[in-house]
Amino acid sequence: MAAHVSLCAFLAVGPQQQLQPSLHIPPQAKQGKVVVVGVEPTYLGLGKTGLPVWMLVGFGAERLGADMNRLLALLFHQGVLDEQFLQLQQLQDETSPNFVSEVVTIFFHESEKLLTSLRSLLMMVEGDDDQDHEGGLEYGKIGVHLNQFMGSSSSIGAKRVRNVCLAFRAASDHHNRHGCLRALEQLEHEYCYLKNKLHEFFQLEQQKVLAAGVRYPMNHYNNNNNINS
Amino acid sequence: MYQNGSSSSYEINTETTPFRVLVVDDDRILRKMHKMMLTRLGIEVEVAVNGKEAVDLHLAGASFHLVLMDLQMPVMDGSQATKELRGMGVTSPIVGVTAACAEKAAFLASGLTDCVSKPLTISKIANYLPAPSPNNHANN
Repeated sequence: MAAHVSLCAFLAVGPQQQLQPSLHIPPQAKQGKVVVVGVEPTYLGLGKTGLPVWMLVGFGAERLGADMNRLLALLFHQGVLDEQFLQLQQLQDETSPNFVSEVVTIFFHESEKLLTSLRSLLMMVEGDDDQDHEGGLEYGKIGVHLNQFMGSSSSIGAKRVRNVCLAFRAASDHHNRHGCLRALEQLEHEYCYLKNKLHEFFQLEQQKVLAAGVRYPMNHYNNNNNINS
Repeated sequence: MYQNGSSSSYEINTETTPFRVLVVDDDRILRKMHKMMLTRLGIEVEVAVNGKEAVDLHLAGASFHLVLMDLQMPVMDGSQATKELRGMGVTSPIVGVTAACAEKAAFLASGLTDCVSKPLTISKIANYLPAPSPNNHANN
């Protein structure tokens, strides 16, 4: 009975190295019908634990997956992310394998532009003066930027960022410059924390893909190293 | 081709005409997400970056089963765009999608069929989407 086993020999030789082309993959393997028993030990060797490397690399991908889940659980527990992030993840599939990171990357770019604009606008506001017409214009623009920030942050599930935007907008609606400055500092802090954590998440994801993405269907080796299907 | 602009659920015959949705939003993230959300259901999606583009599309003869309209956009906002589309005789449902809850009433008054808050989810607009059928690509 043929067994299908995906191996991560990739990790055995390091992420930048490649298996030697002398590794023969018979036609049956390319059709996905492969019997896998092990890996040519003289090439890939044994891991430091003494276990065959082909066994270790599978564990690496699983461990990375567990790390990702733990990080996400932490971010949910802290209220940094909400269930909308899961909705975003559900939009990712084999046809769009990088959808989440693409969306989040756009969010980072747009958010940094918004934060820069918000700071510039607040610097242009003289003080807490409801009668200041020009200040009113700036507060109007601040409101527009905040609505945009709220929309994008809520759509990716960035809950704490969105909540700070709400408080910021309330201060802006009352032309409360000091309140706006405090809210802006908090917003910058929350955004930086979110960005760092999501970067960490995507790094783990990349490592997991590297660990599990190279699948070399191996063949059954007989005593003479003849490759049988 | 169009249903009337009521908020009650209805069915679209998709056997001959693909279900088409116009997403109007100046935010790149939201355009990308909403487009993916709908495309995954087998729906044809076109995007416009502001209200004027949405109006221009209709003036050029485009038609849609559903328009998802953001409120705050440069050049022409969602309220103005909605008024212009209704003035042109567009009767397909126009659903406002906004984070600005305080302006929801005014937005609705511009001629929207409905208004939902961000983040947009399929459940919020399910009433305006075609009912799943065995031959519907949305079942994939």
